[in-house]
Amino acid sequence: MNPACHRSLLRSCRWGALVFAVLLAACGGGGGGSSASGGNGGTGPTPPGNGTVSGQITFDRVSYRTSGGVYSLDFAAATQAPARGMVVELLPGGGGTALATTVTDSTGRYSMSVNAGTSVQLRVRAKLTEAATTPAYTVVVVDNTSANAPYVFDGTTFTAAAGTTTRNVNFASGWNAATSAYVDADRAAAPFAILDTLYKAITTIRAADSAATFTDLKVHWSTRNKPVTTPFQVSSGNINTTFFTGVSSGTGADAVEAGIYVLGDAATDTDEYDESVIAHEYGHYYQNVFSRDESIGGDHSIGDKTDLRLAFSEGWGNAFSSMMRGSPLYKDSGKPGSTQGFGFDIERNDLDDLTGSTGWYSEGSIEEILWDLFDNSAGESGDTLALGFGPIHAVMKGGLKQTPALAGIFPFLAALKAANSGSATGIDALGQASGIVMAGIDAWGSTETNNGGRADNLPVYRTIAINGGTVTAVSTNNVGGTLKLFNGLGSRKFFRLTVPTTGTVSIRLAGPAGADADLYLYKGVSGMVEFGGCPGSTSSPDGCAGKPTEVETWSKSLPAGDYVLEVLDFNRIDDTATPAPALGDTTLTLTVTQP
Amino acid sequence: MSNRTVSSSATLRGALLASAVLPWLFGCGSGSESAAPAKTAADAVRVAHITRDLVEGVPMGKPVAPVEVKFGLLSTPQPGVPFKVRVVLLPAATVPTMDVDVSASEGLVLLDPIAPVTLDKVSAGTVHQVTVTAQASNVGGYVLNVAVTLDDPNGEQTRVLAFPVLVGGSAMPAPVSRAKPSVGASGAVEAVVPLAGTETTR
Repeated sequence: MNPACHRSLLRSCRWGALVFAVLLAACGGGGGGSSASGGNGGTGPTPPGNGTVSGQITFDRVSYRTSGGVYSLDFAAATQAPARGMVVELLPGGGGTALATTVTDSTGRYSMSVNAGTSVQLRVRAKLTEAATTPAYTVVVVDNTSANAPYVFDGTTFTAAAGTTTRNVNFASGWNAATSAYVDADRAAAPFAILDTLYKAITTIRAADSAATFTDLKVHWSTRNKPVTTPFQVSSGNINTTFFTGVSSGTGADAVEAGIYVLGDAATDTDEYDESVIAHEYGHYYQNVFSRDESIGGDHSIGDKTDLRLAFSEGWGNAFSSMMRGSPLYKDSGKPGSTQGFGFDIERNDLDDLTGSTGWYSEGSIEEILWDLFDNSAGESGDTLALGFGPIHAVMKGGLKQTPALAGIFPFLAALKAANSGSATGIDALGQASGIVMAGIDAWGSTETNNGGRADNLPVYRTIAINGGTVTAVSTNNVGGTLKLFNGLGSRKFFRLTVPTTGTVSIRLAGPAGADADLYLYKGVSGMVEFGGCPGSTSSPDGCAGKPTEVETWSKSLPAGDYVLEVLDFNRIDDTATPAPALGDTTLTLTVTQP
Repeated sequence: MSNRTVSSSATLRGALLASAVLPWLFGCGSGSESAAPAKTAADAVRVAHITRDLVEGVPMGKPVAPVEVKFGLLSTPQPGVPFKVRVVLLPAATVPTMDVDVSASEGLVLLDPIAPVTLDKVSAGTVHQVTVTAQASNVGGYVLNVAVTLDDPNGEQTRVLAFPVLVGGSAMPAPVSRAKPSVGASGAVEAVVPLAGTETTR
């Protein structure tokens, strides 16, 4: 409910392998035509049989009931939807090595050849693939509370007849209307509902970029996944919220495998049918694979004034979610059977305006801009553009990814304008409507005048010259008079640093007594290349035993190029401190020298 | 420098994983020694920041030497895998030398440091750190012992603290796996979680 927040390839198809890709490119995200033969062809040791096993794979798609802006699951309105792009296998009766493998088409249909008279059984995997892509990839739903084992359905044994034998399978939601409760063992639709949301996203991306290279992805779902953090342990189902992580970490019971994690605990909150949430997290996967994501995380909401990286990443997540689903409505149900849930319309997302947080630092503003760039809805004043996903995708994997600035709205809009000069007026109108100065916009926000209520929030990037003396910046937790820790606007200040020639660069950041001056150095798409530490320290945090934390100094050989220095007082913005830091500012001084 | 990372998910995870370890550490019982007197309020803030993720060891005997010792796991102990423990020393007296001698209970092999560590010209109110690397072959509970000796012209004062380490353990009982063995498409055995479905023939 909380929206915070390689290749195990299907073996190459012997025939019909291209069908799925063509369907993906043509169907535009929903339904589409059916394959005459159904499926995408068998593979493996399929005998040249005189029989065919075919059918349709479906799952229960649970929709919503709406009351007063609250979206809750409506099981009575569930429909059977096609399970598209799913891997289907034909096993020998009783199990064993697959006799044939195929992938369902855009209507959920499949077809496999088999020798008549053979004892067989059907296996349907919660595994999405595009068999025709190179390199191919899979999206698999696994149970993180069962050692990341994949979900699989095995049918009953039957004898293949001459001609066609039909075998359809439906996966039910497991909802018992009589008791108004789930039977967890019967909740088989969930993995397929999750994958169908991702099928829509992949279809949309593929339509914009036929050469897009996806990577394998695991979606971790379990009926035991609950919003619990004491302790956080995904192997036990304590996942806190639905989230994406691009890196694996930890070992043993505390291991966290890379991928998407989805809530599934019926007693608290489930997200498998919340396409907005699933697509939002896939938006972070998208950033990780195709573009760049530098969000610092932490608590946030639409009306907040936050660090520009967080604002862009979360605004992107919601906008991407809407683009993939073709709807500006974000819907997130709560506990099944309850009336818990919420939703909002990013097309008419006025929360940032109402809270006075409109601008480059607001995820609400950014999701609205991105959606309005994409959509073709009529009637909204100032929204004349309907670019679709192609131009946005091109900037995400091009201009935004390659910018020497941090990944925020400025490099995105600057690159979009440069690549779409014919739409510049419309792009300007949307940016300006959300409080962003568009005249002369560049990746650094050099022309920006919206300071978010504090003069020292501008310029977005200060310039620090090597051997140019000391400059100052303020790290604050005071956002409009309210304490905002860790990721608030102004908590971290940024400097542009140009290193003209490769060589040793020395940096010194100092604050007053009691401060914990921290600095981070970034180099474009390479991301963070260095963080502050005491000379000779080998561990963190601080690792600076006996040394003052209010001063950080280090020297490092840096290649020539453009860098961004981030500076902050961690003691001022520490969101784990007890008691919380006092409302206020810390003035930091920065010096960069080179022999 | 903080221990926050720049990845949102990693940030959340790191914080949460740290908290995951703490409950059982606190549950092992700890002493109630007061913190070393800080020279200034700023010093107190700094010490609190540096030690905020650490726990106190279990005192072995009377706390003779005026030094506080805190511990923190830097990695999750697993059988056969080296893990690190951060040991932070907070002396409350100024002494010419401070010796740190680390030992381990049976079954826990100390990899580093294998000899006592000597710190010279130690001032009261300063913070010192030793990173200990150890390894156990088997799942189980073990103990790291840290003896801190303050040497000054009037003699030696030693304090010993124990740090319980659970190797291969979990903060929670693992849920029963729902996976069952099955033969995969390629013929290899794999673990799968069975799904219920309704088959029809027309």
